[in-house]
Amino acid sequence: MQERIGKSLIGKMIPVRCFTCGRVISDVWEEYRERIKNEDPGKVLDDLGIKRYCCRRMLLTHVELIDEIAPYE
Amino acid sequence: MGYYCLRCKRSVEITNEHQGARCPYCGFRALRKERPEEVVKKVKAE
Amino acid sequence: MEVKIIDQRENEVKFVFSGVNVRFANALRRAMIAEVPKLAIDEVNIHENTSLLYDEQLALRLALIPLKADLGDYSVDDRSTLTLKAISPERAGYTMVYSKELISSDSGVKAAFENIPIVKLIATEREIAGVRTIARQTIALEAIARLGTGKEHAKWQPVTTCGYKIMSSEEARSDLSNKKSVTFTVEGDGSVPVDEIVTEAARIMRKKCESMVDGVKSIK
Repeated sequence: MQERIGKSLIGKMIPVRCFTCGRVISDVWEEYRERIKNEDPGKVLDDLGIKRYCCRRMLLTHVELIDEIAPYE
Repeated sequence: MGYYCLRCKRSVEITNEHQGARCPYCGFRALRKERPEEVVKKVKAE
Repeated sequence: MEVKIIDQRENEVKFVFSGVNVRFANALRRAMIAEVPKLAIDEVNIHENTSLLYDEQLALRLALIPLKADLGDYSVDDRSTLTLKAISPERAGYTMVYSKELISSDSGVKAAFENIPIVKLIATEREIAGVRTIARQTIALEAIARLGTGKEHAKWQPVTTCGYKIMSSEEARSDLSNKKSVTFTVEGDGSVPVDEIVTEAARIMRKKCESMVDGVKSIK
């Protein structure tokens, strides 16, 4: 099952740009992931300058799978 | 695929007619398979 | 025709274009999206890739990185090579490979954003029959950047959001000559400065019009 996730089209890493508008969003991913541990995600996104909802969903809904599939490759 | 001698670096042809392959030039017994150069894969980035 | 800048930030500009035809504004918008050239990675020669990403995935991620360059030095067929080499650590763990690790043969070319994660290289430790082994992942590649335009592929599109709004003021409505005011919002992707995108688009439009005039003249 895990292996099937790895081989599927689900992204293993954060996409470089927003699918809709093309703005680069991956450069703030690591900061975002750290900060949401004790901050409100919406406020963090505002602070990082991600203002459109197309870009915001890229970070909000991303699941980093590269660590999950690492033992099965 | 050919082989080459590890001592004199000359290429050697090996036949399976008799056992105990050795270099016909220097008699050295360590022979190595000649591998092709590093393969570079060309990918279109899109 | 009058241009008034309302707001200008590092990567974004908002301006009012008054006394123009809406068709003209649309032509300018389309020129900015599809005609203004920029540099982007187009071909990748992969020497080694034992990472978790497939060669094609890696190439696409590289292509989407905006590259900063002095475009005056480049013409249509010029190429620039960037190399990337990385290996996971000697002990169990990982190294994240970032866009800043791309080394360019041309000192003027570099990634517009330093911290874009390209790939995570993982080192895993295993114990087989009492012997500890470590499996390391490596990548070694050569990326070739080329000048292109947005009509070929979105990676060569210098703008992200680029649009205009027709302003509906009393003044504009009473104007019978079909001239209106439009508010443009242009946001760059970081590779080309926004003011340069707008002026270059206008220059391209002028060139097209001139070549059309020449074409019409030659018919006569």
